[in-house]
Amino acid sequence: MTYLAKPRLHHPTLKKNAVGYTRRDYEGKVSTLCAGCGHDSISAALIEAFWQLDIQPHRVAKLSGIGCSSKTPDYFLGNSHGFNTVHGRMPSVLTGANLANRDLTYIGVSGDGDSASIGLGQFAHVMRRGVNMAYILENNGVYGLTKGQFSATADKGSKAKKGSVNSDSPVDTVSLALLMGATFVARSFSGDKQQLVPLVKAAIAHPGAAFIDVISPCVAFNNHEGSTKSYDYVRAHNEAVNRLDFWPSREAITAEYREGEVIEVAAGAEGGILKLRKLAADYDPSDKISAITHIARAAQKGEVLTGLLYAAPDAEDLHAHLNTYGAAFNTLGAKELCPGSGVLERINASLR
Amino acid sequence: MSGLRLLVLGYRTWLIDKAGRCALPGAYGQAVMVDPSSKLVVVHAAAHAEPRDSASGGPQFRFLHSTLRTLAALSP
Amino acid sequence: MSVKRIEAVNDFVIKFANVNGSGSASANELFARAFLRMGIPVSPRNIFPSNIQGLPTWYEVRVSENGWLGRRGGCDLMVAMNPQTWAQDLKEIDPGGYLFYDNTKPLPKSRFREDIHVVGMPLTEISNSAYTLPRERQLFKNIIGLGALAALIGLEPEVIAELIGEQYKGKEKLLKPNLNALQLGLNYAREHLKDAIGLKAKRAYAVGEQIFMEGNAATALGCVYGGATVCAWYPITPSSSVAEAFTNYCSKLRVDKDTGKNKFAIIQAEDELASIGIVTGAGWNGARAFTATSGPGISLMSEFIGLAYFAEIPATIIDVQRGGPSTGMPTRTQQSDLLACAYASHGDTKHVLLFPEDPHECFTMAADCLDLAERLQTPVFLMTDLDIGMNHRLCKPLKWDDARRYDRGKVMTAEMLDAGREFARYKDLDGDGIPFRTYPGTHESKGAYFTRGTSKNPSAIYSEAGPDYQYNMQRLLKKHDFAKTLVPKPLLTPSREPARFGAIYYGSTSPSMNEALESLAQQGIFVNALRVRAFPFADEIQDFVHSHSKVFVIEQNRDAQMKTLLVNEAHINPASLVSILHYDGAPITARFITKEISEIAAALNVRPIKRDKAA
Repeated sequence: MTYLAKPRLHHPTLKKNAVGYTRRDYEGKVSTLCAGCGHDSISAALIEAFWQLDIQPHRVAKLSGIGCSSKTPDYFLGNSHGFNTVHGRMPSVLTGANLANRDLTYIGVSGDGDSASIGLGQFAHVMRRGVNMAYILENNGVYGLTKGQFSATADKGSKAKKGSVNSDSPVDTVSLALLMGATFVARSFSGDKQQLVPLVKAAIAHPGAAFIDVISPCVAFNNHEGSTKSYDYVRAHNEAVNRLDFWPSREAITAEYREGEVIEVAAGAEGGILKLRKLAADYDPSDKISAITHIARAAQKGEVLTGLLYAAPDAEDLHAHLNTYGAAFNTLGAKELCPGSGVLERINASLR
Repeated sequence: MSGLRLLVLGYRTWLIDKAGRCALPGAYGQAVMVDPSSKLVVVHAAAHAEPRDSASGGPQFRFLHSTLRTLAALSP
Repeated sequence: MSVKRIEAVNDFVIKFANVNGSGSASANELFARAFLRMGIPVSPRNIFPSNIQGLPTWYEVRVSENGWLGRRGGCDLMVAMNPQTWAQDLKEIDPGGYLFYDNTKPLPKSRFREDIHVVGMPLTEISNSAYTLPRERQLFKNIIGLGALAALIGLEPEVIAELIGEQYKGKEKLLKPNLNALQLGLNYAREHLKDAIGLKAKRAYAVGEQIFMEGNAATALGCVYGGATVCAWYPITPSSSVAEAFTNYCSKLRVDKDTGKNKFAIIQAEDELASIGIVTGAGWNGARAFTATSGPGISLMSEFIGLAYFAEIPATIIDVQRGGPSTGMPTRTQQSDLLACAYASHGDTKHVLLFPEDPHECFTMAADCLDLAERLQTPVFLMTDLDIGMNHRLCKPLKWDDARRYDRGKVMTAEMLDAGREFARYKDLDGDGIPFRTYPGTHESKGAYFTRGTSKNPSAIYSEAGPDYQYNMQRLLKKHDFAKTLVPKPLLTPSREPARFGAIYYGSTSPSMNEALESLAQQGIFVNALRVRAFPFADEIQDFVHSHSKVFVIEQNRDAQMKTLLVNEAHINPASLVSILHYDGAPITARFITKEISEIAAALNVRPIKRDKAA
């Protein structure tokens, strides 16, 4: 429990963005997560992304489920409304919030337990509906808050801190999001800010359901020998850096890639090998079928692809599907919504 | 065993029909009846010998209620 | 033959026994509506299985010039069209009553009863000789039957023809054969079945300006008028038609004329958890949102209901109750979700419930729920049921005051924040237990807070400190108590004569109760009646109970849930309450209530009590 407020005094020379905010204005409370937690790196990436995008902090709504990942919205954008909902159900709450006010930017933060186990259904359906949001899944393959049980994204054969071996097949959230109709799908690694920040920016700017699976090792329960999501493992399996550049102009979201490379990290005793492969420069993220094929081929080789896997060029969101009114619903009153007594009289007459 | 003994208890407002009319009864048969739609109020001053008069309560209630309904119907 | 013959004008019960999916529904509805057009009140009830085609269904029509719209019990005329339920249907007819059936294939005498009047008509034969297509033969058989019944009972054929005309407006091709079929039935009955039935319809003036509407449609319209913009739902009997009617009304009443854009969003969610999640998200963000469900959905939603209670988020939940527990009786009615809703979710919770009696109140109370949810920042339940929701009911016309504005509750705006108003999300500033909230995105530096289901201090900062937690829980209790002053008051019906007994009832029991009170009075049993319309309970309810030696609590569930709630929450001595419980899945009848109360009253009166004088 940390209640320490960060000092609010700003250095006068701190650089301001186009809407007049410094990077500090995008920060939140001091994190209560374990020191070195990958999730904190993701929060830092979100702070950087929002600052760079010139989005006013209070015009963002942060929603999360339950778990270590879902605590993080308290640690960035301290002047935004946040909502720590119930376990696995953030997607539905975010959907409702988005319907109520289409003018805010919505960020959903979830974990692998939250999205792939208890919330797998809501995860799938929010992608189907195309809710305009950036959905960040902080994936560590473990239940941190309840001290180290496997989650559904844990690889087959990986070992829990208490020694049990996972025999269930893992849920691949990226493939699932693609199949369910997400129009922006990416995967990254919390330790790779170069790749993560541009991806987050692109996801926020995407006008539809955007999903990023961020592999985020748990230092307490999953960063041990035998885990396939530990820092050492991931770093050792990473072969090259390819960079994603992002221009936040709404009409043209483009990405630049270098040649795809693989890093292999020394695996733990029983953990097998996790290879992260960055997408090649000539990879075309507008082709959904090729994205699915790429992911499947990589999996066959025992590799995990990172980078922007898919971005639909003609993405639409739920409001477009439902043909909703331009003004936010929460600004409409009786004048706009109530048909009035005259209409009711006609309805009465039709019921006689 | 009064039918309307309940009407003299407490500082209560009793909704007495679907038109939203209400009764505010007191001791000794004192009563106020209100018809919100026509903004009519009928007031009955003390009339009973006892604080609670079970025999008179019912007829008094019906008289006041029908008076109010009639006046409300006549009101513009 | 000296069999008694029931003779009645504008006061009887007719029951149609059909096979589900046989096209009988529209003929049945025409039959019921014909009475209304003749100024005679009716209340029809569908009794149907959880199935689309093939299983038995019944359609029961109560005809009552006195306007008694509850189920009466018994049956004066059975229109037996379903061989599968023949024996059961035959049993239900009151002695001296009538059986109308298709005698195309003769039945042995042993299949009938001696104490009723049997009216046979070769419906299949007539239909088959007039039509060739199998579908036509089936459909028009229903209309031929309708024509015969019209002749037998005295329904005006012009009225039925007019109704058929309205039904097939613009589809002249279908109109003519329907009118022909009607005529075939009329002609046969006039010729062969003269005065076969002693039940007669006679033009009356008892319908007036009343409307004929399903409760679920009225609820949906109440949500339209009440300003709901977000509806999230998952199909479940008997509530699905609320969302369907909302969709239908919105497509007519809520599309912006200039832009063609929708001022509503309806999501058929993947399950009830997502439905209430969407409602919670929308409510948190300042839109009026509702979901419609039934008992099993309430069970699934409970976790979110607890969140909305504790984090103080408006949500309107329409519970169209059906028979429980578990899947229970999906197509039968009950009032058995009271406790599940009043205390929904784990931990200490209490929720606001409203109990409409008919479609008219479904409309007004649905709109009230939306106001209350925002005023109180909490889930509010509209406790309707299958009997009200899925049957057409005659009721007062719907009314709306154009001066009415939505009560958005305590919402702090950017202007208020800039003016220096104190904002602490969970602090009671006004003494009513209700704190101020802000919508997300209101102000760049003030008024933002973190919403959570964990405990917090008055400034919405995470806190597990005992005093913070208790402050919050006490404030929630105070808020719930304050809700008493906002919810609809109970409605008192004083008896004509001094009454020793009181009766408390609620919801769909109302029409049967009204009738029972009248028949009890005729027997010399006088009962003051109080219709409870909301929980938390108004103080008048406690007074009412204290003013009577015994109070009957009439409910449609096994466990006397309202009584439990009264004892728990209004601190009423359970010894002063006598439960009258009806829970077989069929709507409670006036006959049942009358019988129960008169028996108990007789038993109670036997006791020589003169305690007042003895003391």
